[in-house]
Order: sequence, then C-alpha cells, then structure tokens
Amino acid sequence: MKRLLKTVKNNFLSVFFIVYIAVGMVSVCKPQALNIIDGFLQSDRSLSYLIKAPVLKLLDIRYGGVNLEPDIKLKAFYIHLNRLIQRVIGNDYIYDAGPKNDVVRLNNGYLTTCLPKLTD
Amino acid sequence: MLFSSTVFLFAFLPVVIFGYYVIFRKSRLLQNIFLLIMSLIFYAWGEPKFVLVMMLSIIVNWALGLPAAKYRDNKVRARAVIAAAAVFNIGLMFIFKYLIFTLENINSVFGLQIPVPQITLPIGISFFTFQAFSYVIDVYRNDGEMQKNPLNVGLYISFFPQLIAGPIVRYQTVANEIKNRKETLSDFTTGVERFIVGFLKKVMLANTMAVVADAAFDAKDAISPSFAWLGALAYTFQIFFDFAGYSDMGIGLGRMFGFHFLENFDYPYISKSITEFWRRWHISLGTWFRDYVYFPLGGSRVNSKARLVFNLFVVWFLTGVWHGANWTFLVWGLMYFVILTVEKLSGIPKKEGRLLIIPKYIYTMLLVIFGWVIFRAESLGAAGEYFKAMFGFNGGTFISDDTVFYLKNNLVMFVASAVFSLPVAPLLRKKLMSAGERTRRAADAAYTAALLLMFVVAVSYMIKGTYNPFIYFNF
Repeated sequence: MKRLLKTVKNNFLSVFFIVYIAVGMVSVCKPQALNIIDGFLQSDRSLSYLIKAPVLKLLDIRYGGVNLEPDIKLKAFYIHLNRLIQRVIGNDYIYDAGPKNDVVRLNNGYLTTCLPKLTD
Repeated sequence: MLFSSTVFLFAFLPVVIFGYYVIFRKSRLLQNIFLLIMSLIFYAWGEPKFVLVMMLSIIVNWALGLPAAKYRDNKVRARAVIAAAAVFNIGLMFIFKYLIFTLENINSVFGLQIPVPQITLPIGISFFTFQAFSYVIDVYRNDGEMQKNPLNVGLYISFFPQLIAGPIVRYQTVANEIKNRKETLSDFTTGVERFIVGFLKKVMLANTMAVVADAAFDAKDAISPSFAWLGALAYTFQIFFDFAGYSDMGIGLGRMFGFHFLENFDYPYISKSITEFWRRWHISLGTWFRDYVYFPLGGSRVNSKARLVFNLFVVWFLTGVWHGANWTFLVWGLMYFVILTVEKLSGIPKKEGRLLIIPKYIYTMLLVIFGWVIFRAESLGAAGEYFKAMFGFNGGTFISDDTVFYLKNNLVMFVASAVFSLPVAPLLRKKLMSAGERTRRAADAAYTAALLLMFVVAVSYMIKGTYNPFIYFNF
C-alpha cells in the first residue's frame, strides 16, 4: 500500500491524466452505451445486436454527423470555466463561442450573442 | 483525427492506452499489431480511402528494404534499389501534391488545355513518404535493421503520434524500439507532461493567435500598417505554437508507448542568424534534407564555391517545394537559399561581440517575419499587397481601430506567446535544480498543479471552440 501511494505521488500527473480522460470517456460514451444497452433490452436480446450496435454507432459518428461531445452538464461547466478565464484575461469578445455566433460583452457588463457571426 | 479534439482525447486515446497496457500487455507482437490497427483507424478517420495510399507506401517500401539490405555490398544493384525507392516515393508525392499545380502552370504558360484531374491531397503525405523513404535508405546504409515483418514497417510509417504532422522520425531513431522497447512509469509521466504542454501551446496560444492572423491576412479592405504588423506577429507565434505544439504532443504520445523521438524545435525565435534559426526550427526536416540530400551532394566540403551554392540551392528549393504546391512556398524556400548563402559565404553568424547581439536578433526576426508573410499569403500578389500594408503604402492612419481591438482583446495571449517562445521554463528549472531539496519539491508540486489546472482550462478552450486548424496538416 505504501509503495502504491508513493508511486501515485511520484506520478500524480499520469494518474490524474488517466483518470481525467477515463471520466471524459465515460461522459462522452455513456449516453451512446446506454442507447445500445437499451436497444439490446428492447430488441430480441441477441448477441449479434450487441456486436452490431457499436459498429453502427461508430459509423454513425463518422458519417452521420453525430456529435461526439461531452454531455450538456459537463459542457456547461467547461463553457462557464472558459468564460471565467476570458474575463480574467480581459477579453470583451469571445471568438467562436459557437459555430454560428460570437459572444460580446456590452458596456453594462452583460454578455450578448451576435448572430450571425461577426465578420470583417 | 486531431489531437486537440474530443474524439481523440476522450475516446481514441483511452482505448489505445487500455488496449496497449491492459489487454495486450503480455505480447510485444500483439501490442505492435494493436498500435498499427489503431494508427490506421486514426488516419482513416479523416478520409478512409487514403489509407490505401499509405498501405501501398508501406508495402512497396518494405519490399524495397529487402534488396536494399541484401545488396549493401553491390553498389550498382543497391543504387538501383535506392533509385526505385526515390522514383516511387517522389512519384507518389508528385501525383497527389504537385500534379494539379504543374498542369495548371503548363496550361497557363503554353496556352494549352490539358485536362487537370481533381485530386485530393492525403493528409500528411509529405511526412509519411519521407519516413518511408528513410526506411529504405537507412536499411541500405546499415543504420537500422531490415524488417522481415511488414507489420513492423507499417507501424514505423503509420504510428499515429507522428503520422500526419511530424516530427519526421527517421528509421534509425526508432529501429530498435519497434521490437525492443521498455515502457516505464516515469517515461509515461514525462510523455503526459509533454503532451499537456503541447496541448496548451496548440489550443490556447496557436488558436488564439490564429484569430488575429486570419483577421489581418484575410481582410478584404486595405489594412493599416500597425494591424499588418500585428497580424504578421500573430502568425509568427501561431505557426510556432501550432507546429511545436503538435510536435510536443507527438513526442509525448510516443513516450507514453515507449518510443523516444528526437526533438523538433529548440526555441527558434531566440536565434541570432538565419543559419541558427534553421538549426532550431523543424529540426527533423532540416536533418532529413541534410543527411539524405545535402551530404550526398557533397555538403559544404566541396572544391568550389559554385558547387556549394548549387548544393544549397537544391536543398532550399526542395524545402520550399516540400511545403506545398504554390509559388509562395517556392519563393519562401529560395528566400532562405539566398540568405543562407550570403551568411555562409560572408561568415556573418560567426561574428561575435556584445554590441552585435541585439542587431543580429532584430535582423533574424525581421527576415523570419517577412518569410512567414510570404508563407501565409494565398499568392505572391497577396504577399506583395501585405508588404505594402506593412510599410504604409496603402495610405490611411498608422494605428487603426482593428489594431486596438485585437491587441486589447488578446494582450495576455500575445505576452504569453512572447514569454513561452523564449526558454523561460528551462532557465527556471535550471535555477530550481540548484536550489535546496525543499524548494525543489515545492516547485515540482506547484508545476504539476499548474500544469493540471491549465490542462483543464485548455480542455475548456477545446470544447468551447470550433476554430482548430493545424497548419502542418496541409503538408
């Protein structure tokens, strides 16, 4: 146990990184995995479904434009964090807040969205 | 697939780490096959059909490696094998990268109407072709073991950390590690650290600088001199952090799986001559041309100055062309040919003296910035227009609203870019190493904490942002 703790302490960066991407993976893939399990339970419960479904999902992500992004709760956290950082470094204007719009801060401090995206 | 994307970070990478270290940990052969398959998936994610091009390259170069090893002592036959490898690899690059450009220019110059085929450029073809060619040459020179198993050559050429935007890993660098490498936890941690540093450079600095550079270079109306200089400076930072960031991520990912790639950048923006700049910038490309083109031509150990100039011309012509099929890249390469020839013949880089440090630095950075303007411009005409704007030939005031707006909104990132393009971190580390044990430990802990915090912040940039181009994907 002592040895394990020492290894974790000495390689905390690796431990954090592994845990972080694993959690990210769960948040990204969990909704899709749940869909597959749900499909399995509601289908004929065949093993072939369980094998086929992930492959179809993968193809869907690649070709069907399914968005492989963290779920909305996690995404909201990152967006708030990003806004905080932007404010700390004094940005009034947030580039690429979304694919079609930008966010600007008004003189009264409120944030507002420009739609369509500002261009030169 | 981009390193700085959700799919890579939260789906692809965890699967590769899990498969490599948990499922296949007991067999090197299975680990290599797994890495090869995952690398092909990584490449296929962007454009699946081009995997066939890469597989063709793997098979042909592996097949050419067999006679290259067999005929080492027979110069005539060995040269025939090397010539065949050159024809195949250069031919492959020519078809996909330069055919359209060549035909368009022939049609334009001679007034012909030769049909121009529509060919899409496979991502990273210049990188994996150079690596594949390096395999045959290194096997012939006995700098690396010939691989009987084509899967090993496949892994060397297609290994995902360095596949699409370098560094160009030469075969001799990893020849032993393909079969006999040792993964350690400390190497893995170093790899993670390097990956995070590269990720920060790319997502936070390069992407932010890209917004300013694009606003200046893609402006439809005439821009003020100050905004033109700001845009050129932003692009100077963007291309460095973009490419160096990708190289850091590639080197870090390689480390995580037990591969040790050579460095690709060594703080190029502290150079005091163009010769020094090219020793620090894209080192893997520079050494590739040095060892496989410049030295075989005779290098600088030749009888006449004319021959030296010719050798430099060949290398810099090829360096320019390697970057893309556009006159801008050719002129950019030839610009460096002229400067480096002048430096080599005049001995400017060797002139020492305290008073010369600042002028030499300004001279180098100005030429590098001018070079990036040519490199970034869509055409030579556009580059000319941009230079006109930089030197105030467009009229108007020196400082415009654009300059104030973009500088104010990105001031912190400009300062951060300037600081991190200097060797601040190694200097700090060196100082701390000479401090006491307690200080060193505290500094280590603070560095780890800062790195982790910044990584989470960088992920927020990645998730928020949609603007995420990699410049060197085009090469």
